[in-house]
Amino acid sequence: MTPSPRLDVEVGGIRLKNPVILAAGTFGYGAEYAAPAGAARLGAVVAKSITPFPRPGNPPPRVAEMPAGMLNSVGLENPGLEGFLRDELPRLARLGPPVLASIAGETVRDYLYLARGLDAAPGLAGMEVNVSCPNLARGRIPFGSQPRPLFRVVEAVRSATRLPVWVKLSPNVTSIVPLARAAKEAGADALCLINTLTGLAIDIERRRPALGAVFGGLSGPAIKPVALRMVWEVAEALDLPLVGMGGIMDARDALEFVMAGATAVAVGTATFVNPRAAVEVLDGIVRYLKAWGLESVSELVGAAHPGAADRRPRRGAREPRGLEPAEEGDGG
Amino acid sequence: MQWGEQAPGRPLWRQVLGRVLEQRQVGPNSYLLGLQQPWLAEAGRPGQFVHVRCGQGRDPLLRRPLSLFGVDPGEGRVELLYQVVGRGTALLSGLRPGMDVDLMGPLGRGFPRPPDGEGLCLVAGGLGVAPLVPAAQAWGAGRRVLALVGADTAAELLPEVQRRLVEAGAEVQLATMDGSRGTPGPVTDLLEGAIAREADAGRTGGWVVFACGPSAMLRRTAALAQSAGWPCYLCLEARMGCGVGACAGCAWPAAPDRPGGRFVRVCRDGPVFLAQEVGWWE
Ligand SMILES: Cc1cc2nc3c(=O)[nH]c(=O)nc-3n(C[C@H](O)[C@H](O)[C@H](O)COP(=O)(O)OP(=O)(O)OC[C@H]3O[C@@H](n4cnc5c(N)ncnc54)[C@H](O)[C@@H]3O)c2cc1C
Ligand SMILES: Cc1cc2nc3c(=O)[nH]c(=O)nc-3n(C[C@H](O)[C@H](O)[C@H](O)COP(=O)(O)O)c2cc1C
Ligand code: FES
Repeated sequence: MTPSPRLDVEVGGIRLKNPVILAAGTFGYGAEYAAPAGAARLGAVVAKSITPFPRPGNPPPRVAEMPAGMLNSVGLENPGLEGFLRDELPRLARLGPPVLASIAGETVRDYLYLARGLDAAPGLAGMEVNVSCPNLARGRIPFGSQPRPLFRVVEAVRSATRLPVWVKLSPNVTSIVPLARAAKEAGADALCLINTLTGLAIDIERRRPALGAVFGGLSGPAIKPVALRMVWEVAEALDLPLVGMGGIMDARDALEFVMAGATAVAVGTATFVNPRAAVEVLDGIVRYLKAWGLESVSELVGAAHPGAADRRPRRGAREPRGLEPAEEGDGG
Repeated sequence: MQWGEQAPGRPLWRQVLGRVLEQRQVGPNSYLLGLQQPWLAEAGRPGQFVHVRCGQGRDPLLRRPLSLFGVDPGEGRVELLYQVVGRGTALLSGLRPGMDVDLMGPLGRGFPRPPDGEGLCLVAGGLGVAPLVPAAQAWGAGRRVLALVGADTAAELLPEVQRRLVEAGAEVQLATMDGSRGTPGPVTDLLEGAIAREADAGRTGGWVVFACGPSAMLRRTAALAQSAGWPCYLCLEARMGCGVGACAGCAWPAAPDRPGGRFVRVCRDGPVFLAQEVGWWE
């Protein structure tokens, strides 16, 4: 027997027992999926984004199926800071893995308010800053679309908390690197990418947009190539831990993100399809590490980049067997 | 068919495999899928649903919600009744005996037991009849059950459904939009007639309405039931992501005066709601 490979990683000041995270907004606040999704075994969980005060969210319909993906316009439906601290965080904290709160706002003051309000919250390991929200001061252009506003938001959050700050980048930009750099310069401890890609679907029978809010965010396998490209670009440009996500359905997808430069990965939409997706990703990563005789998952971070050529299997090395998941049993 | 009562609180759901026992066409586009699945057969209640993975791959991606149509806890068997309307349901119709389907359930808050002695009036539009048959089976004994069943055409009125309703002791009245069978027009005309007959007989109240079907039909049903003073429960449909209350994708407007938020979640707070709990859009 080879010894079990090391799975623990450090992401921007938070130690994770393994690199698999549940992505913001895709498992609520833990009540629904905790047991079925095996949340206790995961590296970390990121709660659904909260705003300073409760928000009802967008008019229905809020989801539409897309080719190998989904479009959602949930619209930050959330119980607000107070409701989160009172009703949701205690339960999340009991799951076991480190909990990050995800914060979202329409003004820099909103972010400041949230960062201050969460700074001393018991059971909170860090904050993820969701910058995909419209910036009221800039004609509703999202904070995450322009380096200056992004810098100001992250700087504000950084100044208001001693907790680790992860910044979740929006892919709806012409070039991701300047934004990643702005977040880093403002004090981000890690970067998470990507959030959903803004999209539209039209119902031709009803002759109107499929979603009540017109636009929605595209997630799922359809966005994986875009997400991977962005993780790769940021990994080439800066030295900061990255959390990769976008369309991860299984361990192969997750390993692609790791090899593109992500220290950890997050599973989102896949949980809806298979509540056990995240733990199956974890198990698959372990199988891969064992099959290739690797000592630690960290050895694979960025392994596909040109500079890491020495970390590749030798020419002619054959892929070891046993990477595919075991035959699925009764999931109950 | 033996149905138990739903305990209060969040339903305990599991992700399970169901082995296909039977795939039977019961109408032009409609199928009955029989599955070996002891947990769902044991735990499923009228009005609850399962979230079904329709294919193996990544496209179509999301699961599809389908109501429990039949359970037999003794045999460990459950049944779904579905209409092929798109890619997911088309894939389901390709399942053959011996194959396995990945299901999550039972999910949602189903119908409540109607008070003893009260009549049960079922109002069904199209495949909306699927969750109503279980209500008749569970609570039909010892009370009057009036099943008002509507569809676009005679072909869409499924004999299998009518047989089960009659077996459960229901009086069945039919309506079709094109007049090819039963009363011509919407099924809500039958409800209007039933309410008028009760009023003529000098009876008020004594009935509970359970309805499922297209949103316009439900809205009209709720209005008629309210004017008659009959309590009315609606089984709603919404596009779903997770199906378990985690994603907020299945929002439905709450009644304007309802405390606790502008939207309810069909998968978790419903799919069955007291008519006064919900509002309407479009
Ligand atoms: C709680 C619940 C219980 C249901 N029970 C049954 C049932 O017992 N039998 C049955 O035949 N159908 C039922 N439905 C509807 C069923 O979920 C949809 O018909 C199915 O998801 C369509 O999938 P598709 O891939 O075949 O079609 P798609 O290609 O996704 O869509 C085809 C058409 O179906 C409509 N549709 C898609 N998803 C839904 C949805 N979730 N709700 C309503 N309309 C939808 C679309 O608007 C479109 O017009 C239920 C829905 C809900 C929410
Ligand atoms: C229904 C839904 C809700 C989401 N809510 C949030 C949110 O509140 N905050 C956030 O930062 N990201 C949110 N996301 C984005 C996901 O966290 C993730 O970045 C994205 O979906 C890409 O990953 P995936 O393809 O694995 O889902 C949401 C995604 C979905 C599908
Ligand atoms: S479908 Fe996800 S909350 Fe209802």
